[in-house]
Amino acid sequence: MKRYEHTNATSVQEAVKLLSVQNARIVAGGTDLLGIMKEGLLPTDRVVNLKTIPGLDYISEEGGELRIGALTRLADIAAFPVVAKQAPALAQAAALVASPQIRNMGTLGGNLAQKVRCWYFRDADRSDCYKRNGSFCYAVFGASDVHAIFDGAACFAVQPSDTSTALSALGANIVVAGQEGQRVVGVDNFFIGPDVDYMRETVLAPNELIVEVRIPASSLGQKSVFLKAAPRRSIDFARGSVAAMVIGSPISSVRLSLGAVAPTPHRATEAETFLIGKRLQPDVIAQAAVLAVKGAKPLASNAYKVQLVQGLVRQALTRLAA
Amino acid sequence: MTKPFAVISDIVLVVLVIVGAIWLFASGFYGGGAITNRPLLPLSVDGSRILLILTAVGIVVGLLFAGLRRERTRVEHGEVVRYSLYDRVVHWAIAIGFILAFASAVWILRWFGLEITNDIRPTLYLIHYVGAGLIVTAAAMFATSSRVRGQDALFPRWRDVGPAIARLFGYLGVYGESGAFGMRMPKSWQPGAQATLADLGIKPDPSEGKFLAVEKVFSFTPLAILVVIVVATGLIKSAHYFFEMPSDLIYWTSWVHDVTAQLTIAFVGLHLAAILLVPRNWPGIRSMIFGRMSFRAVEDEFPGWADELRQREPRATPTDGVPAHGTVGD
Amino acid sequence: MPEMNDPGIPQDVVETQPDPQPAEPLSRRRLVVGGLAAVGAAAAAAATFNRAATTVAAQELSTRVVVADPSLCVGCLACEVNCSTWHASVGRSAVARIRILTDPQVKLRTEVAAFLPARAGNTPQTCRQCPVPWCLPNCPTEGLRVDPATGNRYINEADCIACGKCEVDCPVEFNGTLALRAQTISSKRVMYDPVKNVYAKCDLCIGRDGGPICVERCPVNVAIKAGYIKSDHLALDLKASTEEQWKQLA
Repeated sequence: MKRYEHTNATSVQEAVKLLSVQNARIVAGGTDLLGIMKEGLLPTDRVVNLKTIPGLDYISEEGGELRIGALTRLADIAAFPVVAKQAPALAQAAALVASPQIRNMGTLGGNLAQKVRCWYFRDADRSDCYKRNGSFCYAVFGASDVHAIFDGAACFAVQPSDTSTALSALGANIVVAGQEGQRVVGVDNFFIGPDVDYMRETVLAPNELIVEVRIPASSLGQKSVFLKAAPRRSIDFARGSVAAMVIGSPISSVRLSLGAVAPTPHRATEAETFLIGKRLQPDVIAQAAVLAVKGAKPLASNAYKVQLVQGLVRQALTRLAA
Repeated sequence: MTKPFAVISDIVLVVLVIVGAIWLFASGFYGGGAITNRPLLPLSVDGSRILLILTAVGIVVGLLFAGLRRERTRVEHGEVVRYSLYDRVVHWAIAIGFILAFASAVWILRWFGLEITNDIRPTLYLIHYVGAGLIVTAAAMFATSSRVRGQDALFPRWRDVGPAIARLFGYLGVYGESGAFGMRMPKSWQPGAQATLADLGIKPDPSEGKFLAVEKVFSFTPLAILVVIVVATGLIKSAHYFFEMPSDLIYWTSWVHDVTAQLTIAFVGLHLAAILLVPRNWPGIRSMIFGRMSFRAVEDEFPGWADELRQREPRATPTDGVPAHGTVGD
Repeated sequence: MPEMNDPGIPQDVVETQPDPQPAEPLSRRRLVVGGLAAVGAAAAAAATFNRAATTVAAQELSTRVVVADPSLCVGCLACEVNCSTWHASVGRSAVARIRILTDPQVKLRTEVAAFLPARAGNTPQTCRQCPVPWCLPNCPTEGLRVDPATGNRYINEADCIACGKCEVDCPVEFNGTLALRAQTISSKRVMYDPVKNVYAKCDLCIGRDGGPICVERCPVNVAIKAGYIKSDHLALDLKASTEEQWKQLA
């Protein structure tokens, strides 16, 4: 591994300043960064440690919202009762990330800002890849089992973060710190597709960091669920996932997000519109599931995701109906 | 002087133009709906509409003016009215319009290293259309009133060509009088040069009328023709936003418009050079601003016109016994 | 100068002004005068005919144009994304100048359908590089230009003042549903970019070694060139433009 400089930030502003050089990367839990560095996927000259910034690791109810610091461990998010009570989808998602060891080290911010798991991206020795500043995507004609069935554009890697799917269903807001101070970005605007910039997955500039995630009052205490389909019960990234939040019966408000099927968490807007004013009965649920995968355009080997996700939607809505 | 067919066709044309202008005005202004985020497109479309309307306005004003009673040229206190108020308004409207159009174009095209920002473009573009509007209106007024009145003294005749070229050489001092920048050709060279030119049939006119041959041949006529082409092609271009027109027509019309606009710039340059650089022509500037020039200047520069004025108003024009002045600029 | 209000002089006075020159054969003078006038006019015209020459030449030069075969297009949008990224990287507008529109009627050729059966129904569309460049003559600046060497109709974005006249005159539209997020599009093939306040169109990646990036990076083209897909022509290609070709373009 190349030599690099390790720095400890003691404040958010200092972190921004330290990040404002070429090839600087954030280390919190390091569960994604170390792999990126060891595989030489992205040049890294400086690592900025955020664990030395006090006060970024918390879960609190404030201003009517549930606010979670970006340095909060996934294991804590999974375990704290207030999260399970107020935002069950998030607690369930956090609990299903990777493995216990990773959950003990991995942070919420890191989970949201992680790089993609596309095996062509991760194989720097043999594969060209747009996300490594290349000029070709092997997934189009190659092995596309883990790739997108919606919204691929030149690049077909999916957003792998389970918490991103849950937060999309919860309508969360993400607080970002940068050069000009802090700003709040809605979760559906936080993630960007490759048509916007294939070198990034989020709106974060190279010197910016997530500091907090906020779940708004309107989502707290509402029924929500997160389901994940993966080859093994633990450790694997999702092959397809669903997060749903439903308010009222008949439904007055619903957010239905599909994970691991698009470069960003994929809101199933047609299904959401269909569900408004209805009750979660089996035929309604079945129709919503069909609508949720409408317009999917699979590649050579990920057509299975269409039925997989359709089934997940049915299961998720059935759970919420109970 | 006009034949019945010409009169009728003129009237029909004018009526069509006026009806068209009313339609353009009544059809409202740019409501691009979804595409209102293009800052200059509404200006292009609305500006074109306004130019077409202004043409009609110019024609109407020209017609009205042509119907007014005309004043006789007066000689008062040793001064002659060369250009009436109407004449001057038309001239300066076109001149100022040209300056606005040219200046805004120079800036918006970033000639001479000029820089512009996004913010200033709409203003410059608007100024360009204002300049075009002045030219179109004044040209329409002038063309209409002149046509109706049958005034054609500014058009050259074949016999004007020689004296016109002679006067250009005169600006180099060939004929003894001072020319551009007050320069004179050395006296010993003058006879030779004059003889060479005379062999080619180029000799000055000893008795120029109200309008110099050089004005008629090299200034008014080329500019008038060019302005007519620019305005006419410009109006066709403007019209294509509102009426279906063959693409070929628009294509070639745009090309002609561009070329004649550039030629117009060249000839305006020559016009300004002749006026500003040759002291003999400076009384003309005064008369285009104030309307009058001294009778002395008329005698010096337009002897033929001076004769006519003397014939008409013998008491008002200065007679012999008053010392003659030299030429202005000597 | 305008004919001045000169009512005092009756026309016949002007007309019968004595001819100061003796009557002599005028043919030599007329020849000289006419020649001088012609030379002067030609000199002025030559000095100002840049645009005219280019325009006339543009009508005659055969141009190159990006041509697509929809039956080979899988709607991967590599062309759009690369177009946008490359143009932004050289300081031009990031608007994608080639767009993939969906068309359910379009079937995929079997060679491609064998790989990607679910991705039929795409038509790539871009500037047709019209033999007669309708967008060009009304451009008030030197924004729209024709490259004399190749006939490429392109926009020099530094000179574009975004007046919109090219958009009005462009005869071809993008009209329908995009493959990208199923957004609807209704615009001409020369498009306004509100971020940079200029117009953008396919410029065949003028200035790029290797020519149009969409042709180079289309994965179907890569597969065809590598022999994985058997085809005698590319999905996206750069071809000479003729009247007949132009009529067939999407």
